[in-house]
Amino acid sequence: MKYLDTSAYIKYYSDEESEAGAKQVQEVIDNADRESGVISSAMLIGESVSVLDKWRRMGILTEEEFKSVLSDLVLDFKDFVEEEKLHIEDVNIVRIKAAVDQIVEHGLPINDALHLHAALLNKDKMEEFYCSDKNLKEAAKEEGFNVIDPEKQSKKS
Amino acid sequence: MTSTSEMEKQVRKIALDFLSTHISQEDITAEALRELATKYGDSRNLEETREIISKASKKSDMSLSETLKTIREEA
Repeated sequence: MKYLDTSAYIKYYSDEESEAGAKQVQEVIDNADRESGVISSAMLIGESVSVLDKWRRMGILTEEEFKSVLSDLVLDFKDFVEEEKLHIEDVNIVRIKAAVDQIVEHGLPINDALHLHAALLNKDKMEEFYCSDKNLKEAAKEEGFNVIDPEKQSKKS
Repeated sequence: MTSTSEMEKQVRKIALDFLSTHISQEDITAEALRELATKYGDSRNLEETREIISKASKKSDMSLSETLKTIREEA
């Protein structure tokens, strides 16, 4: 199984020219299945939409473009979960309580702490942790994950 | 005769037993995503989406990941 935080997952919707590491993320998600799937926190959903909404508010995306991209995003979430290629770890008060340990230990903001906690819940089956966020990458390494930054992989190739 | 509070406790127990037996977290997640897709999902065209995002990235000189970083920093 592979953990993808939002900084990695969101690359699925771009291309290599505009978003370093997009190609690798597309391969990971397109090749995911029940046995070798992708895990993420429910934060993925809100964070992904927040990025698109920010672009809409900045005038980078038109209203029509925003709706079109959002449509693809939410339909993919539904289908990927139904196809069992994406497993979403829920966020609730118990998870937030546990994520406080990650905030205190690693100095992470709550979004990153919830991602790290979701990965730790599945640590025994986690082969790789995909992330392009500096703070979260460092914390995940400290927790013993095999961290892959698709942006770094892209620069190597 | 059973008092109202006792009846409420019994109904609550039956409801919780039913929920824990018949509805998993996976079911709740899948249902929430179905509702999200019904509300915001229309048609899909991944190729067109990637073109829109690529064009917007060039226009703004900012990638999706970089935008996420700013959102996380502001949070």
